[in-house]
Amino acid sequence: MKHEIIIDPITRLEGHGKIVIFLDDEGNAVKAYFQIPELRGFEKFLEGRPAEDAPQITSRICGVCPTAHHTAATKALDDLYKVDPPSVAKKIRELVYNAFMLEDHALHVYILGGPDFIVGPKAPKSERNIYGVIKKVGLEVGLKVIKTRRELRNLITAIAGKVIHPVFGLPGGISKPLTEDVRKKAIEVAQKSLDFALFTYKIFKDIVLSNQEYLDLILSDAYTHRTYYMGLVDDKNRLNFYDGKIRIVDPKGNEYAKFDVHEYHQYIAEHVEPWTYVKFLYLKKVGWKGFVDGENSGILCVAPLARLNVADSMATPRAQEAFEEMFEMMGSKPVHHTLAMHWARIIEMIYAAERMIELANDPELTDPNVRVIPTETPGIGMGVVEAPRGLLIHHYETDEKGIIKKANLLVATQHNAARIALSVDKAAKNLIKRGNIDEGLLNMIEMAFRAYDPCHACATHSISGSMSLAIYLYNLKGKLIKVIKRDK
Amino acid sequence: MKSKSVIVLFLGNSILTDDKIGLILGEKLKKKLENLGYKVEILEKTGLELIDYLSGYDLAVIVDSIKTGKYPTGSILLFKNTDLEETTLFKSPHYSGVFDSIKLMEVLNLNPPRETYVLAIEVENPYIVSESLSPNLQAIIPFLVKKVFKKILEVTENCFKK
Repeated sequence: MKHEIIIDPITRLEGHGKIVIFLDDEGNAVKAYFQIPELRGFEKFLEGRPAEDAPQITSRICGVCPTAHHTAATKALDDLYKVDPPSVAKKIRELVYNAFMLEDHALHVYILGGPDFIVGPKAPKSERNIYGVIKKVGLEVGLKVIKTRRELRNLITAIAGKVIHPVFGLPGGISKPLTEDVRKKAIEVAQKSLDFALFTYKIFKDIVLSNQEYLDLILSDAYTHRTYYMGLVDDKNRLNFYDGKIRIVDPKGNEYAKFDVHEYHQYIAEHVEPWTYVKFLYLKKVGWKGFVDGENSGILCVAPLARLNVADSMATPRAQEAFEEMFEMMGSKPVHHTLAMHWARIIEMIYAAERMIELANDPELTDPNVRVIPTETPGIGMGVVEAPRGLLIHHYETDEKGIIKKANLLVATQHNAARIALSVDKAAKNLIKRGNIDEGLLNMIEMAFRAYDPCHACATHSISGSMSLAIYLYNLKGKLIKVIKRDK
Repeated sequence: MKSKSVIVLFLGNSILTDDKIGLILGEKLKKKLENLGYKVEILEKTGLELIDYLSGYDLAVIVDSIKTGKYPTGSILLFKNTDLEETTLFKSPHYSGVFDSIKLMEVLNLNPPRETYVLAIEVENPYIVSESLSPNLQAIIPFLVKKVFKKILEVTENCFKK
């Protein structure tokens, strides 16, 4: 090893992270590490708190996916208090959940990950952002993004009280019934959202799928890993964000396991490394074999591509068409190409909008009986949902008064952490040759993790003007030789 | 003073130790500012979500925490969006910081504030999960309430003098 490159902070993800790349004497990348330097400790913070506070507390882990934590926590409370919510409450929760998934995915497509493709992976940094997207696809697209997200968020506010930190989930149901006016609004918003999702799919097809260079990038070995995939499915093995069984398929696409959230301990274990705070989740029975892919390695993948890989089909017609189109074009199932995650995300936008339409048109939605009051003594509760970034499990254990004694949160980015590390390492090794390092190349390495839309619960308050990307070259003795900074 | 076209946003996260300082100051100053005709919002939101709140005002003042490590706890730093544009645009890890949002409003003709100022309170710890402020920050809340109120009035006055 001759040199060390540090990308810190990496950009356009939810939270902070750092990439360190080591180069050999010839300037070839020999190892890249994806580090998470933050430690939050939300699980400890929950101890000693009433369990019913969990949906409010955990939704503050991050301002980006609060609804996922709120919903997983609320479902864990249903389980904790052994109460089955009325079907109308489940439908309203699912309606809100799909609205949230759609607007969160839209954020990623147009602002976080999408610019890499829509503007281009090697485009100047100053253009590889939402403004570059607007420049490329038009001002009206930017307005459409802002308007659609606003309408979805207003709908969530109307149903769930607050959009950033919803307050409507209660053990046994929700806090208030839906009015007919809100239901009608939901139908209107859902229909517009479907138009928006289909429009987004068209943009993706026109700009990305019709560009051979981009297709080659998606299919390239640098962004390919043959791992296990995990996601929620309904009773027909169709994708579902809100509820279902956890299904795992192996790298060949065969069902490896299908289980209820209560059995997660039997399948998922944690591995720690000394150089990062993130816990690497892996398949317990397959085992931790290090950062390698293949059938004998327990590394797994969650998030949009994994969800489509584990599902036999989609539950809604337009999403099903897009689902079939993707697997037909890719030529196999599962698809192992990380960058196809963007494609899968847009297909999920279509599904979310269609599912919203179905739910909003359900006449039961305005049934006023939205809660069953719990009467049982609490003990252990687990809840699972599909967060935008992948499977999310909340597990609480309480005393008989409902005070949390132990909490365990298994978040999507932990499930994906090992595969992300694998992706960054492989991309660096494939892309950095003979000391050839430029900003476009480094962005292509960042693209390896950005596709997962990872969330490290950031809380940055720095407006000091520091550069968001800097490369530090060190010699073997740790002496700084050179610093390369991105343009202002 | 055209106070009807001024919005003051108090931002923070209620369970990230000192990051809640903006929310606390907002609670203490909301009525006082509203009585003077200001629009006041206390929000646990960031980035693009702020667009809906900022549209249509002549002046926006944002009160939030900051950790530079360069100033004593409780110092109030004043930034103007045009002063910081070059150094802050696209620098938020989300690419969706306050100034990114304002820039986006400009690009999309969404009627951004004519001027935006950030009153940033230097804090000790905005990262660890806790509902309590650091003792040093807690001790100077009365001072900060007065100081921030005064700063908001000053900023408004200067803005409308022009």
